[in-house]
Amino acid sequence: MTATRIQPDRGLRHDALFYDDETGYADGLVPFLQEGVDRGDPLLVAAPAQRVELLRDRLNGSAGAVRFVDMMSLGANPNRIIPAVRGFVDRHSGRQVRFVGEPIWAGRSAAETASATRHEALINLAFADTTAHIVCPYDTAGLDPEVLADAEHTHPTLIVDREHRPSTRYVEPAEFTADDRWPLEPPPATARQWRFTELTEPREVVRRHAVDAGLDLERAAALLLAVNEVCTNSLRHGPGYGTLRVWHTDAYLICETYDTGTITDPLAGRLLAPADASGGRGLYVANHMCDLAEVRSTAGGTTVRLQVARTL
Amino acid sequence: MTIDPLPGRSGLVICGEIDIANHHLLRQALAVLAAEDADESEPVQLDLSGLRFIDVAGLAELAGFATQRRLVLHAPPPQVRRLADLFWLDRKWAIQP
Repeated sequence: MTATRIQPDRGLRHDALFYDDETGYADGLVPFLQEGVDRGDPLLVAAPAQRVELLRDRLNGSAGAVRFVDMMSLGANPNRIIPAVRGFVDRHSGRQVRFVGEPIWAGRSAAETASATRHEALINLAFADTTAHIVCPYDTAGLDPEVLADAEHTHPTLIVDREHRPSTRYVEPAEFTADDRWPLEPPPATARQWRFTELTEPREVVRRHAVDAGLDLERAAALLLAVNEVCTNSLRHGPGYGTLRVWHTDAYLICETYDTGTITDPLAGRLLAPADASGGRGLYVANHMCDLAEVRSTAGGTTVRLQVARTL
Repeated sequence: MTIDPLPGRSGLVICGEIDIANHHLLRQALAVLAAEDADESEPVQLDLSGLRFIDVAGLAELAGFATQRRLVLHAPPPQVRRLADLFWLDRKWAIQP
């Protein structure tokens, strides 16, 4: 006789786990991961290094079955998380992947937190066609109430004190991430501005500012490439011209492009275009080259703000 | 950008900067090289030590060429390795410092 088994959910599951200490963290995640180990599910954990260590420790002998990634590196730019997880899911096609992703921790800047929050909403779109089970831990002791409220907006299910319940405040991702609801801080008065119709001058501008800001060669080259690709989009897919603004803070060199074109795909830059497609790689490259890449596209045009740290 | 034959070997010396303005010239030069140089036993050498910048679409031209012929990139600009890892892990090209 065949044993009757409860069928796993066929669709995506995306839960926010609220925890306030290490015990809550481990109690919330270890059973989820252990069950995955027992079932032979592909398991991926991306969390700050300290949390990774905690989970490794608590999983003990089962830790070897889990792929651990330091979220402070992978998710430094939160726009890089979806492509990485999508790659993992696609490599295990047909199986139920379990993913623990902690993209927001106490101390992240407002801009990083905004990017990570939008990323959380976009998870619901990017994996809608999968059976992945994703759990995102939120540190209720360390994070601001607005961040926790947004977690209720971006996760269909909440886990509080080991109880699962539907989030009554869940918002459809397209609505939640609508770019006009996420205005960027205006550039400072010190920002300089150039109109471009070709790419030689934008590259010279970036090179000059990279030297002035003290970027090492590696980071300067990464920013240069990212700006070039985003400006290429303005020339090729946009109106054929655009504006480049550059400024720096104590910590970052920031390059921002604007053109009057519109990007309609909310996942632009997060999914890998076929290797030899003629387009679709610009934002993807920018996300991988920069510490933060904020894209805002409305009827009024598209702004892409790229930042790299001046020193590590 | 300038493209010249590599003296004494099958290949090209590419200098300057490659972007949306000159991809077509790169594509032409590679097509001519492929047509004129029928000896497929030897990899094609590209001296990129004078290349200051190559964008993603430019590298895609090289990657496309590398599906047909073995290719060696000498001294490419910074970030080329990272881009190759990001998009073209399967290509039969070698990158030498």
